[in-house]
Amino acid sequence: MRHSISILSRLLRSALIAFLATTSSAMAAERPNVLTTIAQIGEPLGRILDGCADVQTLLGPGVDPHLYRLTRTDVAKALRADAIVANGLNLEAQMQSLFGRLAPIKPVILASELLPDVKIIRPDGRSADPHIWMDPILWAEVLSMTSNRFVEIWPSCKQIIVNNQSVVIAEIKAIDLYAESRLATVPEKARVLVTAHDAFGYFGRRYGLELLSVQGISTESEAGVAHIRKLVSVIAHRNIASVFVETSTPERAVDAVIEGARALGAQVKKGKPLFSDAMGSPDSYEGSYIGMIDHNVTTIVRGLGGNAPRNGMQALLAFLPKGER
Amino acid sequence: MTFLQIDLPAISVAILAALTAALVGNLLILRRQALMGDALSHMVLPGIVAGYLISGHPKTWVTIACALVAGLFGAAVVALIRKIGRLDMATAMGVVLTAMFAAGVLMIETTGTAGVHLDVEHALYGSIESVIWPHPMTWVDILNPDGWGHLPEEIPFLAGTFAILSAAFLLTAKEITLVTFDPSFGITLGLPFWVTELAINGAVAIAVVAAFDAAGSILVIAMLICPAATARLTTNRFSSQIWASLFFATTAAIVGYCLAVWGAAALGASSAVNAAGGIACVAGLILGIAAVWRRWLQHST
Repeated sequence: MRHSISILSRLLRSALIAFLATTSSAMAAERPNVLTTIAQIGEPLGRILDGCADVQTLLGPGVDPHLYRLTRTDVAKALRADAIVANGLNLEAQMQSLFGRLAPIKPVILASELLPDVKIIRPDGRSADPHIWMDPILWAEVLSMTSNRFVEIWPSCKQIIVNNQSVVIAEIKAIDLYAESRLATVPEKARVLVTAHDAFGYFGRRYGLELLSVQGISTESEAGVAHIRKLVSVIAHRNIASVFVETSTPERAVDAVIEGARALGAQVKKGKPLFSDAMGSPDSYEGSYIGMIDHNVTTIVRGLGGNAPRNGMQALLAFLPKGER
Repeated sequence: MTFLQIDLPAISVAILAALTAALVGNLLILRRQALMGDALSHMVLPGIVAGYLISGHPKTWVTIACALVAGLFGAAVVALIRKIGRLDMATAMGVVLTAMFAAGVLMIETTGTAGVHLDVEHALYGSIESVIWPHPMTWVDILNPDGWGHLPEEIPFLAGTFAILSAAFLLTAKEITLVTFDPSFGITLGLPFWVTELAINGAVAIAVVAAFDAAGSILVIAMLICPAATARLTTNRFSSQIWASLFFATTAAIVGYCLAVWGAAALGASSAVNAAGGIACVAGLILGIAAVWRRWLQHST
C-alpha cells in the first residue's frame, strides 16, 4: 500500500514537472524584457529572473553613471522595455525625467529607494549616497525587494524567482563572510581606506573602515589644496600602506597625494584600481557583482597589509584586472 | 510609431530651444557679447546652490527659479560694471562670471554640500533625448486633447518663453534697433543706458536659463552664436538678419537631430550619438559655409 502511494506521488510529481516545463517553454517565446541602468543591478537580477524575463543593462563596463549621456537608442530601449529598474537616489540624474515620463505606462523600480530610510547614508544630512551596492548585505536586501516586486508584476514567475533568489542571496552572503574575515586580518591601525572619490561609504560602514577621499562624491569636482595637504599628513602619520584608484576616475589627484606623503617619508604605494561605479567586462568574473566585490575586498586587504589569497575568494580573480594600466 | 513618441517631441524641443536662443543671439552678436551664453552657464551656479539649500533637492523648479534669479542678477551686475567702470563688454562679463562662479564654489564648500552631486550639469541642464511623449500612437492622437495633459512640460514652457520674447521684440523693435547700432542715440531719445542694458541682458538671461533647462548647454551656446553669426554674414539688414537666423536655427535643429539619430546608424554606428552635439556641429558647419561663401562673393566682385 505504502509502495503504491509513493508511485502515485512520483507520477504526480513528474506530471507537475512536465506541466511546468511546457508552460515555461511557452513563456520563453515571448519573455518580457527588463531594462536596468547599472550592471550591479542588471547582472544579479538577470540571474534571479532567468527563465522568466530577459534583463538588459544600459551602462556598459567603464561607464561612469555620473557622466553618462542619454542617446536616442537608449530612449528607444527604455520605451520598448516591459519594466525598468534603476538604482535611484539621484545616481542616474540624467535619466530621471525620462523615468518619470515612463512611470505611468510601465513599472519603473528605483531599487535602492525601496530601502528603509534609516539604512541610507546622507553625508550632508539631505542628499543620499547612492552607492548602496558596496555593502553586500544591504544590496542583497535591495535585490530581494526588487525581485519581490517582479513576483507581484508577473505572479506566474513566482517559483522561478524564489528559487533563483535564494541561490544569489546565498552567494552574496558568502562574499560578505569572506570580506569580514579577510578584513579582520588587516592591522587595526591600518583600517583606513583612502580612495579617489566617496563611493565606499557603505563599504566602510559595513566592515569598520575609516574613509578618506581625495575628491568629493561626484567624480567631477576637484580636490582642494588644503584637503590634499591634510590627507598627506594623515597618511604619513598613520603609516597607511596603500592609496587606491578607481577604474572610472582619473588618477592625477591620487598621484599628488602619494608623492606628497612620500616626501614626508611615508612608505605608501598606489593600490590596484578598485571598481566603484563601473564593473568589469560582462564576460569576466569581475563583470559579475560577486566578482566585483571579491576584487575590491581582496585588493584592499592585500594593499593594507592583511591576509587574502591573491586570486580571491573563489580563485577566479584575474591577477591584473582590465583597466589596470 | 516611436517617431511620434520619441523623435517628434525631441525635435520640437530642439527647434524651440534653437529659436529662443537664436532670437536673443542676434543682439549678442551685434553688441559683441557672444560670450554671454558661457558666462550665464557659470553665473547660475550660486543660484543652483541656493535652490538646493532651500528645497533640499538638486533638481526642482526651485533650483531653476533660483538659477534664473542668479542669471538676472549677473546680467544686472554686468550692466552696472560697464556703467561705473566704463569697461568694455567682454571684460565686464569676464569679471562677473568668474566672481559668481567662485561664489558658488565657496557656497558649496562652506555649507557642507561638497558631498552632494551639485553642479550645473545635473541641477539645470536637460537633454532633448529625455523629452518623450508616450501618449500618441497615431498622427490622429496628436490632435486629441486627452493626451495634451501628458505633453512634456518643456514644450509649452519653451513655446511660452519664445512667444513672450518674440512679442517683446516686435513691440520694441524700433528701440532695440536704435540702441543696438548706436547706444548714444538711445540716450538722446530719453532711454537711460541702464534701462536698455538691463532689458536686453535680462531677456538673454531668461532665454538662456529656459533653454538650458530643456536642452542643455551645448545646444544653447551653439544656438546663441551660430545662427545669428551666419545670418549676419548673409545680410546687412537687421530685420532680415533676425528672420534668417531663425531659419538657420530651425534648419540646424532638424538636420542635426536627423544626422545624430539616423545618420550615425547609416554610417554603421551601433548607437545614436548625442543629438545636441549633432545640432551644434551642423550649426557650426552652416556658419562655416556662410563664411566661405561670403569670402568668395567678396573676391569675385
